[in-house]
Amino acid sequence: MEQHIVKGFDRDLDKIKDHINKISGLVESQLAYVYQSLNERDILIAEKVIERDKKIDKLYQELLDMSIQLFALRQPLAVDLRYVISTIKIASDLEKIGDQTKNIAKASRWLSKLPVNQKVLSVDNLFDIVNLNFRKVVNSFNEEDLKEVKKIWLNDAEVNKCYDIIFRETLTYMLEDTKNIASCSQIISVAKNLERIGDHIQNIAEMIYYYVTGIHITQKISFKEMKTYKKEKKYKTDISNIFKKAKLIAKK
Amino acid sequence: MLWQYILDINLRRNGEHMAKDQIISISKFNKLKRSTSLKIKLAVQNISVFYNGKMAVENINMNINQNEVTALIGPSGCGKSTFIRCINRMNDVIENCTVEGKIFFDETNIYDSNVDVVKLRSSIGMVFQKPNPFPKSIYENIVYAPKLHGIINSKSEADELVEKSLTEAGLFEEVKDRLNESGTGLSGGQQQRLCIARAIAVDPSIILMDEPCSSLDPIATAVIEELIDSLKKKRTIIIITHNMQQAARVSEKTAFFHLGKLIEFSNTSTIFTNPKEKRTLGYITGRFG
Repeated sequence: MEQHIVKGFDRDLDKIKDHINKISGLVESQLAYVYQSLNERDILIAEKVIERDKKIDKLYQELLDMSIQLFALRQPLAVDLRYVISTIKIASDLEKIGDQTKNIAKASRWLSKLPVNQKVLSVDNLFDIVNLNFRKVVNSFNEEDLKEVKKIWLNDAEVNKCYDIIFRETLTYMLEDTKNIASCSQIISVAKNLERIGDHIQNIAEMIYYYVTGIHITQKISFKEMKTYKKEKKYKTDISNIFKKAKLIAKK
Repeated sequence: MLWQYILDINLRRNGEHMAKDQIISISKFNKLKRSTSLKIKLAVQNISVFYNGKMAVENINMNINQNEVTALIGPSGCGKSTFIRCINRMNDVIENCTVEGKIFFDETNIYDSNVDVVKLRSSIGMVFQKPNPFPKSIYENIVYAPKLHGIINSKSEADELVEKSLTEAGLFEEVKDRLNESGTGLSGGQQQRLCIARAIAVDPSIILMDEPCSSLDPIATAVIEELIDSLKKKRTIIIITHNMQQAARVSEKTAFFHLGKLIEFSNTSTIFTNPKEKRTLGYITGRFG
């Protein structure tokens, strides 16, 4: 994209971009820390994540102020207008991802207090997908890579699938042994938060596509792609089946 | 689910009558309503303008709808003013200026040899960048042209017309006690509204405005913009503006001109949110000079 005649306009837009990158960098490290705290049952790291969320909130507020100022002083139009509106939405999604990470940290703090011999189910798979998608979406925000953005959007089905598997596993564990309920309910909360993070990543992908093209991403996904996406996204866990299994286990 | 609407009025479209109780879907109803309410007022076909044989405006084609505001935007010297002057044949008075092409105004080509130019200019009025009231009283400013055209014959008719025109231009309340004072003694915004009142006194169906607010303060500008909005109920307006926000605020359609060519002509909301042409995007976002 060509530069504006008024250089200050470009500087203001760059500032917004830098700010988004600052927030996403922070969120990325939060995700890494919370993963570590879950794996190593480290309360201190969990506490650190909870504390650092305030920083994300502050950066988000700063970005809002910057955007309002840009509207008032520069009156952006067309692609610039879409860009500023989208960055506000992207920042809001990033801030929410920050909140979800904080929730995971709280669950992790709780899980860390469990006796060491108590088994805690792994959410590594889901974490990996979400982490990878997050890094990809941040990259495509900087590179405006539309192909990648579309892939990320469709990949949300994978996140849902993974969440469904964890949900099914935890349910079975809980039904097997009531002692597992304490840890498993927290694991479900962690997985649910990760699934929500996946949704926010999808939103960010949508906004990137919109500001670059002016077209909503859903209009550019073919009927066939959408059909497979919806089919994959649907939860397949059948509760009645699980209860039947549980009854069998109880009989044994 | 399809909402069904029963039309209890006759919808006229291209001379066809819809049956009185015909059932149609809401989307079709809206489409019909739009097509019946919008009529093409001006059809510009292959208009080119030359100054001393040098092309200033190149092959413009556009349709201007009735009761809509059409904004013309573009950098200085891109041919907007030259083009707008073609619409009421103001270019005729400029030496060495030749116009090619056709402009259909209510189905007559205004460049036909038998068109009465004076009458044409009374149906297509114009307001200029700088307010230019005659150095006469406010009253005289309004009645001058109607007298010339023979629209008014008596004093009472003149009084009525002055009140009607000044009221339509939103100026009557402010000047009703000093109608005999000079028009040049008014403030800039009032002078511009006086010029608009003078233009509408001869009841034109189209008003051309060449940067009408460029020498006015923001409040006077807002008053004129509000006036444009009320004028379009009865008339069609074509406005040149260098202020993007103004074009976005007042117009339904926007045309972008560059180097004598019409680059893009579309709905104002499309032009300002997602223009199709790269040059339009560059201009409205301030990326080229």
